[in-house]
Amino acid sequence: MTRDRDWGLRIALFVLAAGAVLSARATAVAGDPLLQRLDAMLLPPGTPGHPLGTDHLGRDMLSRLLHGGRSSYLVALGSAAIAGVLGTAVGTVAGLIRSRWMDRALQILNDGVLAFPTVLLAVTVALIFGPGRLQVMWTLGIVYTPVVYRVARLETRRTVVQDYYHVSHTLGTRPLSRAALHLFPNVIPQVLVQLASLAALAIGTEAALSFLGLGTQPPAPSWGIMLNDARRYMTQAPFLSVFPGLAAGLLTFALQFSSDRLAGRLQHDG
Amino acid sequence: MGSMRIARALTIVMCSVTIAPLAASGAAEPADAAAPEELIFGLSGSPDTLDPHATTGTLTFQTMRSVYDTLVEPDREGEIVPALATGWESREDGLVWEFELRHGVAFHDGTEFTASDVEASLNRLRDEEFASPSIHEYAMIESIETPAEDRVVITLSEPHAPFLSTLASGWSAILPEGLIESGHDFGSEPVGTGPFRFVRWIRDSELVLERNDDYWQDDRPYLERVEFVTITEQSVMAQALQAGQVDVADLVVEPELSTLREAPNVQIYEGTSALVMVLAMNTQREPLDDLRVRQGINAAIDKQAIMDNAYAGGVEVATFMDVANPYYRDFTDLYDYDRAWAAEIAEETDFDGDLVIAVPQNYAPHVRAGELYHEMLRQAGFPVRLQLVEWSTWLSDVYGDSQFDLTVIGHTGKLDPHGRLARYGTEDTYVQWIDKTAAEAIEKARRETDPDVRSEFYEIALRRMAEDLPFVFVGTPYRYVGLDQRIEGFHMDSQLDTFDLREVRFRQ
Repeated sequence: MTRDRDWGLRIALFVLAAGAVLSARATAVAGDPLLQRLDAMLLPPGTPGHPLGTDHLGRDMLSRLLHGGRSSYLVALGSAAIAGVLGTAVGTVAGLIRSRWMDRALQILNDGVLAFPTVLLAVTVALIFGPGRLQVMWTLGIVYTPVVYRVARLETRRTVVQDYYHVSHTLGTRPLSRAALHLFPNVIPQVLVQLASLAALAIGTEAALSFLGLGTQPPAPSWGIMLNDARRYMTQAPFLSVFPGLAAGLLTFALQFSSDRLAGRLQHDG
Repeated sequence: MGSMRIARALTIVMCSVTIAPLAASGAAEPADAAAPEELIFGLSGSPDTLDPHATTGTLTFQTMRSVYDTLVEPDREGEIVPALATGWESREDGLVWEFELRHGVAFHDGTEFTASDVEASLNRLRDEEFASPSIHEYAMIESIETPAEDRVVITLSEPHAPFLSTLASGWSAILPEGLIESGHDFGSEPVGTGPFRFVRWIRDSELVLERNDDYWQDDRPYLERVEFVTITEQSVMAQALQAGQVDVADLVVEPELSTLREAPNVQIYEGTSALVMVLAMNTQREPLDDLRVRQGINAAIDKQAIMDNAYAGGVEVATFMDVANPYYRDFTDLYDYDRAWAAEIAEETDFDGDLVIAVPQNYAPHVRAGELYHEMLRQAGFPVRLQLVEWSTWLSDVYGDSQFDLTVIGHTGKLDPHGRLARYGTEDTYVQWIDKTAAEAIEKARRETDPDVRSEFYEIALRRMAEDLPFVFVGTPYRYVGLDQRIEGFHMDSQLDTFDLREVRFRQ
């Protein structure tokens, strides 16, 4: 373990945590995101009572921004969790199994999922099950599974040829404890690095799909929807598009940055 | 490194964006010396076909109005006046209609226009195999005779007052007999007698027409060429108009409207539309089958706020007729906007889950209206949820199959009130509102030729609709078209929602 204090990583993690807490407590912090005030539309940031101003229907932008964060966190964390669990499970099994045939079959399935364009799949899912953020979360979870699968399989393969793993095998350690002791400590950090970067992708994709009307459904706020609404008021109220864009950028950056730093540490440690 | 490259790429993109309009307006400068003779017409959608017999799409009629003529047409006041027919007469209580046809009119392919073209066109519209979506409007035609080259006699099986209005509508376009018989593809290559002839059509992109030098109105049209370009994005359309890249923006709404009003090179054509904006209710679904619940929902909606904030202004209505229509009756004092009372109704109603408001997502004003309805109903205590649906899904599931609780839409009018009211009061409409009194009045009005008596029947039907609320009737929006400052002579047939370009020209 390196002993230096990585301030960059700390700040990134703080941003992620602060965003999560603020979004979770959005109503307490900033009030009702749906409340319309038709006498107070397009107020600029800094207006008393509306620190970030109001949108085209007189709704508080701060409240919408924080509530919109819920969609982003839900989809990012949810899809990462789905991909993490599925990918790790299938990947380690594929890494342990000796059957060449089975490995090949999984590989083909994997390539199939990877080859399918994400947005096209999301559109198809929205057509069949109706649009919504849970659908987006599941779609992304499944799309990201092959990425995690590859990492998990590779890391498993790498581990099982190590001497200590062989020794442990010869000593007769039970398969499950062997996995817990020697395999997962190698696989899971690598998977986490991947997941952080996938979660960053998910935030952008959720915003894009909501922008297109395929993700979170109005009037519930989402950064994508807010950007879509703001687009029409670019000349009168440019600030409307600044905050959701900034929030999505910041969150994506923090996740990607954490992922990079964690990967760097693993390399040093390895 | 990576971010530097991105930053440079961004600069390049931004520069080209800011330069483009400048370059365009700069280039337009020299052409101003002489008044231009080409009109670039921005359309917010693309026609599905160019065959006016084969569609109900307004965009087809809006563009084909300049390629085809009809026997009769509405004038600027909405009166029906001669077009391809120079005169007409109805006999035997409206059962027999005789038309005298105009001489010396030629189709764009050079063939002469005669009575057999009228016969062939109407037969095509009645043809079960061709299955025109407007076929029911011609169902009462019993026979068509052509005693002379310039004479057509149409016999109806029953009196049908809307008949002349049907003949004046875009879907009654007259096509050449020869090409109909040879199975010509009118859907992609229209041939008519209209003021402009077809040049080319690139689907979803552009439709080019050029002047018909042999048009039957002397010295019309003024323009040499009309080019319809499809621009679906409202903000892009507004910018194109301001930059002089288009001369007409077919539909302008807020927030672009306020910007364009300020623009020095733009004038705004204002008309009343024939639309009635509604929040439709499925009257067969619980709890919406209960009149009190519908009244509660109606009372929760601030109609003027919807018109002002979603549809760029308009006039409130309380029944199923647009304000400017001669058959319109004012029932706005029947029910009031009363949120407290609406809350009481919401309180005492049993809801089995949320009421879902289906909103067609392709049209931003409806989406905005949907968000406003949602909040007004939520504030009154109704459990509501919004659902965006794709336009084709809306047409098939909501309009075609009544799969909805509440839905946001605007109803267009037709020249005759029957076009709007047909089948209401029977189970054959998407709101499934059944009312004997209204259905009977609408049917009687259809068979009645005396306008005053018709008006009385329609008043009965409209009153029933206003009382029984199959819809929350909201209002008739204003219609705004953005025009280049130099354009004059622009006109819209408000009941048909089509553009008349014959008188259009650029001021010197």
